[in-house]
Amino acid sequence: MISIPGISIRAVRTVMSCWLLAICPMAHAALINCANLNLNPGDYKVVLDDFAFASLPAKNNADLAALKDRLQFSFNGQLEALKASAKKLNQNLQVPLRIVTCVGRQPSPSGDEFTDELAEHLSDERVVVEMWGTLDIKVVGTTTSPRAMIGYAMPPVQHYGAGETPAIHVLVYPKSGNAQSADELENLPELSAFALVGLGTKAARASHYDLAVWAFSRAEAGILDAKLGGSTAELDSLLAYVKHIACTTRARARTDQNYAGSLKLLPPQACEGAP
Amino acid sequence: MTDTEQQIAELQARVENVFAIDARLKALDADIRKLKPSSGVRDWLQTLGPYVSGLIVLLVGFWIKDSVTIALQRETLDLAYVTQMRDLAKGVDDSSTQPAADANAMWLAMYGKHAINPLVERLESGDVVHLAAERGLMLIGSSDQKATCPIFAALAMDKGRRFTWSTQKTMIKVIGQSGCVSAIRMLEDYKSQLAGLGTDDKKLANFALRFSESKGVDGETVAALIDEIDEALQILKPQVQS
Repeated sequence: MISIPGISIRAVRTVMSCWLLAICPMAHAALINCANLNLNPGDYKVVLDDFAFASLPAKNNADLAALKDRLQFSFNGQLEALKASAKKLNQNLQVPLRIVTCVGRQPSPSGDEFTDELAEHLSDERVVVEMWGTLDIKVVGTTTSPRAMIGYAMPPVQHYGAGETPAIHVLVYPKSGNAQSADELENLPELSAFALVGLGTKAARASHYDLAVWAFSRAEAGILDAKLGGSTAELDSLLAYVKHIACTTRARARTDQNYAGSLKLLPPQACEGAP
Repeated sequence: MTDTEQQIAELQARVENVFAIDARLKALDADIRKLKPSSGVRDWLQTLGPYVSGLIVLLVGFWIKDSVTIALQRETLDLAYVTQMRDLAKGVDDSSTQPAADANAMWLAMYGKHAINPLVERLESGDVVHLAAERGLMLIGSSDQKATCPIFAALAMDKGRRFTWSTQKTMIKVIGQSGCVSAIRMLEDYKSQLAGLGTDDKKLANFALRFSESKGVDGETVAALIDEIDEALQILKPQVQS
């Protein structure tokens, strides 16, 4: 567990939970079993839970219902873009990523159900990120605008990171409330960054160095993008983790006699700045 | 010879005849006794036979009746177990929280080794159910090591393509937490075998054939299995030394 001077991540999460519970009276935690996890054992998985609605008006709002559908469409697009990007970089770089939908599964807003045991098992099932959230509408005068609280859990980071960085992030959208907020809400730019951190962590453990280093470099760019919308201590910590693990993965690739890829050509580098 | 003397002579002849007959009768009696020296048992059997056979029929009748009754009662009990276990297993599957799933798995575990198969089956069904089944198996293992450790060891080492690698990893964990010290040697051998695989793709592909699904078995899988074995051995070895 990392701690910022005077404030621990656990304390922040507890405060966040209370706040979320206060504004989400309708949402209730229900971590039902996700039986689809065992399908496609060779693929890395992005688990998409059922979005909850914060209130009855939100549940009955047609725009929010449409947003829910658009989100899933957007996630599929993001994953396809990632695969295409990897292919462009290296024809042999396969990124077997797929979305697994867990109908009826609604973890608590703060993700307290993601214990170390659960994270280990999800990681074993090749889950790189699990996402859940609560949708709401904000009424200002006669206009309504959608808002959301989205939780992201990265099981490989929680399992292998051993507390180096928070593995669960809960973000509120729109972050800034500006004109781009609708786009931001539909795209959830952090999703692909978090998925890549999880993917890189697993690929590094499997000694798939090319995939791991590619995933970490893309994740780093994604986290930097996310920080533009609003930097947090948790994102800073995750960025430091990604930089460090990317460096150690490159170092391992250079010394691994079973590996003969392009990372062998890189000059030795001291991996400083360990989280 | 006078009449009197003649009568005495006849009388004497008859008396001698009587003695001769008596002697012959005694000789016959002696011969008869020689001919059937151990006839006592048979006599007893002949005497008591009808009663003994009646008694045997009575006892066999009781025994058969009891066996049938016990068998019927066992069948009835098994049927009740199946129904109750089915309901509990459904409870594990349908639980909406981890604690609820755990509670149902614990109840299922109360059926002892009969619950092993349904719980192992649930190790390959998602995440919440998997963790609940794992806890149930640990409960069974720790309460009856003698009966369950060989079953757990067979499941962990199965090469029949019946289980995923994740299920076998869980069985290794269960072996450790159940205190199956008899499995120490087996775990050490398995660890040596895994260490020999390294990251060689060909060796890994060959090794993966033992699982129901060979996709997704890679260097991380091997490292995870070795870590699990190490944890199990950390639990088991001190139990042998003490």
